[in-house]
Amino acid sequence: MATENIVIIERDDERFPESLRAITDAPKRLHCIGDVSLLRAKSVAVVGARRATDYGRWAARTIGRRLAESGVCVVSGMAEGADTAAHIGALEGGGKTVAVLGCGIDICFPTGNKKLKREIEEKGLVVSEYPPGAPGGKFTFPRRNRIISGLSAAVVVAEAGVASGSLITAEFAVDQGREVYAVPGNINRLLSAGANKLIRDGARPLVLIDDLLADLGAGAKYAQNDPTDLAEEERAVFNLAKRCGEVTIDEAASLLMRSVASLTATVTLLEMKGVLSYEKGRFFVP
Amino acid sequence: MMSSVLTASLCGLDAEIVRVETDLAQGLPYFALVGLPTMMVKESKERVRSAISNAGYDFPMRRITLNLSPADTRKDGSHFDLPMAVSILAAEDLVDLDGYEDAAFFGELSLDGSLQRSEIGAALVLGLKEKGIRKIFLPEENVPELSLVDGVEFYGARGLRSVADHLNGYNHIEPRVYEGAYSLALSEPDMTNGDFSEVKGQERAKRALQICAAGGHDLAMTGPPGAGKSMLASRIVSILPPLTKAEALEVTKIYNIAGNLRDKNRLIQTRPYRAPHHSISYAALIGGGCVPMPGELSLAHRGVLFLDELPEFERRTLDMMRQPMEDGYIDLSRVGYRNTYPCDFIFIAAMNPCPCGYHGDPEHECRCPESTRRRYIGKVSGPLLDRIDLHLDIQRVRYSELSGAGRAVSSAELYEGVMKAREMQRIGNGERDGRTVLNGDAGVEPSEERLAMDAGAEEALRRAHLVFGISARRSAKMKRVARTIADIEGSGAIRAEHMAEALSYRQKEEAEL
Ligand SMILES: [Zn+2]
Repeated sequence: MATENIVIIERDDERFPESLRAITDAPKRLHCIGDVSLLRAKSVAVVGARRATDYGRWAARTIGRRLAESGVCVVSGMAEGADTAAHIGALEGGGKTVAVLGCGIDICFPTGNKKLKREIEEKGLVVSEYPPGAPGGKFTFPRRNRIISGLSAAVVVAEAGVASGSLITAEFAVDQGREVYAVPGNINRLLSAGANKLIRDGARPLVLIDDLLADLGAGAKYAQNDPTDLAEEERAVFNLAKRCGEVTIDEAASLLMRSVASLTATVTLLEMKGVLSYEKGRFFVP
Repeated sequence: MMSSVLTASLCGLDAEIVRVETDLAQGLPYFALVGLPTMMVKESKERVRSAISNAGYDFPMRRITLNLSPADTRKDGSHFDLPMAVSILAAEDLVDLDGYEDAAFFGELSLDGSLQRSEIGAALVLGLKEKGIRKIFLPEENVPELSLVDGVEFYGARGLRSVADHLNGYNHIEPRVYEGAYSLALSEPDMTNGDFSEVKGQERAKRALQICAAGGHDLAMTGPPGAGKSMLASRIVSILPPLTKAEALEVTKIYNIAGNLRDKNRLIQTRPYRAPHHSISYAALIGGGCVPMPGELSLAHRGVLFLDELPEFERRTLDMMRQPMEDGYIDLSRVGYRNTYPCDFIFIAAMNPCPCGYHGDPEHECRCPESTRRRYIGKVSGPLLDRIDLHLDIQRVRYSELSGAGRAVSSAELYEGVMKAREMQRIGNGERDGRTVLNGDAGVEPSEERLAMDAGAEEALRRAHLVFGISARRSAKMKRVARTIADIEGSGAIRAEHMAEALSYRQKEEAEL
C-alpha cells in the first residue's frame, strides 16, 4: 500500500470525531485510508470472537447487514471470525464500514483478509493509531478496542467466550458510556459464556435485530420479513422456513411433497430475492 | 535366405506393426539382433535358440541377422519370441509362410518351445486389428479372453512346434473367429456398488450425481465425516449407461497395458470406478515410470475417478491433473517412447469442511481456528476446483421428525432421467468418434441454440450476477449445468427453474463464508 493514500488526522483536527476525543486515553492521531467522513457517521460496533462458531458469524454478518441497510455505519476490528463477518455483512448491505487495526495501517492482519481490507479501503474506511509499518503486538490489539467503542454509539457483542477480546471492547464501551448489546447463546457452550455473562451483568440481550434498529431510531425495515411478491410455491417454502428455523432441502421436499430438484430451484430463487439464506446444506430466514 | 514376419509393438495404447526380418548368410555362427530392441527383447535371442532346438529343429549354424523394422522406434516386451523364431525357421525354409504373409505372430516362448499367455495380449490384438491384420498366431491361453474382437482369425497355439506344423500343412489349428458374438454381460447399469435407494436422506446429493451422470459433469462434495460421501459417489456407476463395445475395447486395452487385468476379469465390461487413497504416488495417479504406464487417471477413462479427502493429496499432483482433464488425454512420452493415454472421466472430489470435519455441523462444534480452516481448504488446487462444474455441501442426516418421512429415490428412477438426457444430448449435440457429445465435455462449446434460455432463466442469471457475484466464466459453466438439467427434464429451452437449480451448485467464494 502506497503511503501517499494515508491521511493523518491529528487530535485537534476538526475531522477528528468528538466522541473519540472525549474518551480517556484518546489516540493522538489517526492514520486513515478511505472515506474519512465516516469518522463522524452514525456508527455501531459489531465485534466477536475470532474462533466464532457458525452461529456467531451468522449473527455478526446479519447484524452488520441490517445495520448497513438502515444506514448505520458498522465499526469492527477486521479480526478473523465475527469481526470479518460483520464487515462482510455491512458491505453486503451496501453500507459503510470502518475497520480499526491494531497494527500499522499498511499491514494486513490476518493476511487472509487482504481482499476484504482493499474493499473496505475503497468503500469504507480503515483506521489505525499506529504509524505505518508498526507490527501488531500483544497490547496493541486490545488497546485499539477503545477506539472501536469510542467511534460507536453502541457496541454489539455477537459471540464471545470467557477470554474474548470483545469483552475488553465491552468494558471500554461501558466506561465510555456506550450502550452494550450481546447476542445470547447456548448456556452450555463455552463460546457463548462471555456474551451471556455480559447479559447477566446488565448488557442488553439482542433478541430482535429490529429492537436495536429501533433503539438507534434507524427505522427498522420490516418489509423483508414479510415479502409480498412471492409465487404460491415460494410462499410455501418461505413459510416453512419461518416455522421450522433451519431446514434442509430433503426435509422441505418431503414435507411439501415436492421434488428435490424443484425445491432446490425455489430456494435459490428466494435466495436471490434476499428472502432466504442457504448455507451448508440448510436454508433459513435471515 | 531372407524372410519377413509381422508382429506389433505398443506405443501407448496404439500398436505399431513391426516386421521381423531374418537374413541368413554363410560364415561363422553368429546371431545379431538390431532395430532398437530393449534389454528384454535382447533376451529373446537365448529363448528363441533353445525353443527352436527343443521344438525339434536344428538351430542354423550361420550368420543370422534379425532386424526389427521400422528401426527407429523402441521395441519392448517378451512377445517378440514367436515372430523371431518363425522368421528364422522361414529363412531356413523349415516353415512355409505361403498364404500367411499377412498374418501376425506374438507370444513368449519357454525354453522347451511352449508359448506363455501374454499379459498384453488384448492390447496387441486390438492394435493389430486396427492396423488391418485379420490372422493372428498367438498363445492358446490368450484366445478365450478375446471374445470381444470379431472378424479376426485366432490361431491359438500351444507352442512353436504346433505353429510350424500348421504352417507346413499338418496338424491343422482350427482358427477361432468371434463373429458378432459380442454381448456384454451387462446391458444394464452396474449395480455392484449398490443401489441409491440404500442411501437415505441424501436426495439432494443424489440429484447432483444424476446431473453429473447425465451430462458428464464433475462434482465437488464438501461435508463432515459420516455424511456418506463415498457411499454416494460409488453408487454413480449404477446410473451410468453401460459401456459401448468400442468403449469396452478401449478400456480393456488400458487395463491390459497397465497389467491390471485379473484372470477372472480379462474383459472390462463395466465402467471403471477408481478411488485411490490420498497416499498414492504421483506416478501411480498421473501415470509414468521408466516405461510410461497408465496411472489412475487413465484407469478411470470412460468411468469415474473419486478422490476422497482431496486436501490430503499432494498439491503438486492435483495441479498436474488439470491439464490432462482438460485435454482428455495424458502425454507421457519419453525419448524412444511415444506414450499417450486417454483419460476422460467424471471426476468426483470429496472433502471435509475443515481439519476436524465439523465446521457447519449443527450438532458438533468445530474447534478449528478460521486461519487453520482456510489453510486446509487452500491446500486444494484452486485451478482444479475451478474447473469443477457442480459444488455441493452435504450434511449428516439428522434423525428428527422432519426426516424419515421422505422416500429414498432408487437408481432405476435416476437412471431413467440420465438416459433421457443422454438421448437429448445425442440429438442436440451430436456425436464425436461414435460417442454422444456431453454438455460437460471439456473443449466442446454447446451451440447457441442449445443454450437458448427463456426470459425467466435470463432474469435468474442476471440476478445471480448481481446477488452472488457470478462471473462471466462461471455463468458459462452454470449454463451448461442448466442445459443438462433441462435435458433430464426433457425441455427444449433452459427455463428459470433449470437455471435456478444449476445456480445452487455454484462454487461459493470464500467471502460468502
Ligand atoms: Zn473444524
